[in-house]
Amino acid sequence: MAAGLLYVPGILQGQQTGDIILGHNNKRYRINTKWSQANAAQYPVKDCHEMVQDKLGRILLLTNDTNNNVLIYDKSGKVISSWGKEYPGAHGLTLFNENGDDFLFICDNSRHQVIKTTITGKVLLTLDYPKETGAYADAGEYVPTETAIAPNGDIYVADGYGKDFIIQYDYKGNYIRHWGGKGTEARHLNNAHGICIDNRDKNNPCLIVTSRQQNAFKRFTLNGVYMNTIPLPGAWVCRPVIKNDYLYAAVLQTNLRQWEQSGFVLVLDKHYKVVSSIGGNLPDYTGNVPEEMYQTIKVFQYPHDVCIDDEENMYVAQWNSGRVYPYKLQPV
Amino acid sequence: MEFGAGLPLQTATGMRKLFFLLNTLVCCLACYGQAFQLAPPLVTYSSVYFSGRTSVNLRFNEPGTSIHYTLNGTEPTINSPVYKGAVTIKKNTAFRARSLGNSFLPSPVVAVDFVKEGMPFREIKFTKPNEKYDAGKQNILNDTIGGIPNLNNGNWIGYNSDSVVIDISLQKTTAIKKLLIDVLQDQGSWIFLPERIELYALNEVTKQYHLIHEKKITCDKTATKEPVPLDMPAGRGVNAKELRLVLYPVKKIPDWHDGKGNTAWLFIDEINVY
Repeated sequence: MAAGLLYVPGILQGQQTGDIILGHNNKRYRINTKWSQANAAQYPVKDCHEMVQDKLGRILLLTNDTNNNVLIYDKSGKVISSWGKEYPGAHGLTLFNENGDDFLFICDNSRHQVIKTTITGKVLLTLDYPKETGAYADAGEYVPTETAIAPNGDIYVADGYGKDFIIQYDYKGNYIRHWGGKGTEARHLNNAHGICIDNRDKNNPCLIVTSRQQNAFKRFTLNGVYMNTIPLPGAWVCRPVIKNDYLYAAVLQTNLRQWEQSGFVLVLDKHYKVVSSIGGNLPDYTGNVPEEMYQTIKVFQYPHDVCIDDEENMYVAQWNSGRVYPYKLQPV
Repeated sequence: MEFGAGLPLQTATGMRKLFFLLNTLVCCLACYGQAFQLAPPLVTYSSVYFSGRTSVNLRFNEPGTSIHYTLNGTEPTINSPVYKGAVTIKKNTAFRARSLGNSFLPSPVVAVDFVKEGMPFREIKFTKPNEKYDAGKQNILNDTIGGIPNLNNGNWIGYNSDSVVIDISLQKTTAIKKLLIDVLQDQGSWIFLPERIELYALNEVTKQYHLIHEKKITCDKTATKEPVPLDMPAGRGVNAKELRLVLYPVKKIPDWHDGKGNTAWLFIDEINVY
């Protein structure tokens, strides 16, 4: 028993980080903070914003360091290649497999554009600010943070640092409609930082959109009709990431400890209930509302995105966290 | 109960002073490359200032850990009391809490200094606040609600004028030991501590105000966001019924700040006289 013992500083008694099991229920992990073997002199990063896995199993990281906006890793953490020097505001990275080929969609905060590229970085399509909406006076008002691509190729752009509209285009980039925007009604958004297609229910696919300042996800039909809100009190959730039956999301920080490196990672089941929190508390529920969430273990500083690979390993990219490379977490 | 329903409590973890007493240890950790540190517990309370009694609630749900606290300002250790439920506060209390667990480095310490109300006021008058930050309540500065660093919570009044004058009438002529004024420090929001405060007492014979204490404050670039209780000692032998406080917001924000050259904001939420 610890009680009655002399107080021993944790450094002498703490376990190795890799020995600690993080998370809850059937979503528990061991962490490897040294997964990336990137040499900082050769492959520098600033903010590590988002990650995806391509059809070859490689892990792609998007950073706003214009020495190499995209780093391509193998699953062991070795950098295989890199590209990109023209995305100073690289923020959102979405991969879409179109007729067997992988394509990337990059949201650039500084360029106020969305850029579609091949997996090797060749530019195929550039979406400028959406004049067609009539909602924007100039490109400066448009600061896209994320895209989601529907199975039919429709492109949904979340203007998460701009006017919080979701703008829907066809696969060629022709404007279809827009919705959301700032406001006080349930259908409105405040910091629409992320978006994804949820097609776990094949008969009723929907869009999940982040409303980060409201600590919530909001569900919409693929045509932009508001469905419902998934409250996540206290959590500054970034983009939703769906893999098999689960939804994963980095939480940048909490309301209660803002700008104090208070982030963690959430896992929600297909009923949108939090079943695990990596570095945070597992909240009790009252109805469909979880209790306020908070960090419990300082595993992360400001997690910004998660990527789940084909073996259910989790990769966590972080914003403003001392240029730290992504961590890898293996399920236990 | 609905989430948060009916609770006037405001959670103050991290917004109050977080004493990073283990800085050295954590620096060593970086070299040593082992063991995670726990996050601090969540601390909730309705106000730092209170009348009669108040209570503080803690939350920290992580298996294998416990919350330890002290009431005398010392750093909690594994031998300090374990938190099991709301802690009642009846007097001025330097509350400290942290999370501890065998597998982890101890969390930073959360500190809340609870302050019991001072002597009753007959009346308090103050310069009209900026209209955006005017709570419209005459007793706002002496309602024993304060010390929560959220400038929009209705407890604060805000100024960006050259000076702020606050006149306090006590119930009767009394020996004055000190005045305590709670001001907000939130430099990211252009809210600075005042650069100067003057405390006067009215001489009832001459009907003149006499300066009894003056405090000058220099801007600190590294200042954290938190309410700061500023002590204004009266010195020996001051008997008074009428007190006047004059506060001077920072006239020119320093060059290292985005708002350089502008007048800073000054926010106040509570005044007590002892």
